[in-house]
Amino acid sequence: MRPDVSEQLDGLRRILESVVAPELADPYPIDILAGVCATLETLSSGWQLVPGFLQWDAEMSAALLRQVITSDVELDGALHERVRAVVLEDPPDATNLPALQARHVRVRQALADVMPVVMERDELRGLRTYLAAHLRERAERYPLKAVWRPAGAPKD
Amino acid sequence: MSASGDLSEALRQWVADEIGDPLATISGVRRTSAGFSRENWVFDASWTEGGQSRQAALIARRDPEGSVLATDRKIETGVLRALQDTPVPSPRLRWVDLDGTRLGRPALVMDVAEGICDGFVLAGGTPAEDRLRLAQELYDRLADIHLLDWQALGLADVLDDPGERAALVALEHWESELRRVQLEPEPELELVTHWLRSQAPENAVTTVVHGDFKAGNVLLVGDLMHDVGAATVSAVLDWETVHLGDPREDLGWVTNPLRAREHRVPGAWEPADLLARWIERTGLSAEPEAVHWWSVLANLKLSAIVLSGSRAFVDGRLDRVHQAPIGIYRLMLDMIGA
Repeated sequence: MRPDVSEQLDGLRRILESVVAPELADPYPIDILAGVCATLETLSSGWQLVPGFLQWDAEMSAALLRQVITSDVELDGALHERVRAVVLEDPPDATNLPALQARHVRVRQALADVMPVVMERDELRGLRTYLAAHLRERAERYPLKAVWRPAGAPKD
Repeated sequence: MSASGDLSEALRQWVADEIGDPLATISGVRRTSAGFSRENWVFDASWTEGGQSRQAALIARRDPEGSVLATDRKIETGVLRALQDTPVPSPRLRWVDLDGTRLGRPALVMDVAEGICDGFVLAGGTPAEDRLRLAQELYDRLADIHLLDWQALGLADVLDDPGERAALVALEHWESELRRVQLEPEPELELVTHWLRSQAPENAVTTVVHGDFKAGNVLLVGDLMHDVGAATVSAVLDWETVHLGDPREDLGWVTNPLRAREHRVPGAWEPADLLARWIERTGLSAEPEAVHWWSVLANLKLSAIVLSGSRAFVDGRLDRVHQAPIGIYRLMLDMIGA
């Protein structure tokens, strides 16, 4: 599969920077094109990591949710059922990207839904530590990471 | 009306109608890259008035089809008008079209104020003592905003007074914005909003809050290359998020560690220096815990702005890609000690 996806994304960025950018004069399209090129760079370096990240994040989050529903804390009936269903789901095949994305959304939604309980109940204090550690590691592993930079900021 | 040619003619007609000179002309219409939440179009206008030839450099700010920030043009223009004769320098507002009749979407026209905008002027290579003097000049203007007598200026007719619940009102506003724009579940934000709700401070005073004060939103006059310490603020810009509230909100915004490169002069102008000078100038209090709370809220607000950009991009209304603000999430976890 050559040129592979990264090679094509890198090539598109090179064309935009060397062929299109020099022809631009107005500040707005110049600025927008710079953003397009930066995004192509992010995609080129990150796209291969996306399936693995979705799978890892979903299953780590599901493990945290499992601890919530097996704890002594009683969840609201509908919430408990929703969380239980997510926890009991079989993880999708790692090559099935749409299925990975769909499960990832379901698990993250369940995690968001239980957050008030996790934050308030003393019985879950230990879980809060694991949760924060996971969210930190998630931030480290996030594959499509753009460095947040205010408008006009010089590059590092 | 996206073509700049159509926009130019619409602008020319607007100028001609307002001035009362059907032969008024405009030239040099171009969109600037500055501003993520509004389209900014600069141009020169020429007309005849009382037999005299007149010219002015103007800027039209139009609501975009997609924006990272939904704000109320009526509030912004009401505040700009009220500021005209106050110690807070602001651009002269010429004309307002709130219903979008003129340019297809709500817009306003202002004079291009004198001065240079450099969002990273405090991080520049000029001597630290000069940048310290400039920092004092900059943040004294912020204190002046907080010292405005908003009731005497009639701003109670334009802005809602949240009373001592300013923190909770702000939190509810930005939570609502997050719910409106988010494309997927964000447990990190649930965690942070829970912390914010449990720790929200009450405010003893209500003042005008700029909402986005930074070097990138002021114009400076003076020799920025050789004597930056003598530069002065000629105009405070971007009043899109102005509101009444807790002045410590602006302090949390300008001491946000994420924005350190914009607001600090390392070793000379740190958050403690800024707060001490602000307290001295305003006579108000700025408890560190409350400022910290507002700084966390500043990051929740930035998250909402970035996610709003992501939503607008996916909807085809914005020409920029905004990735998930994962670095801001990480910072907020650190700030709340999670």
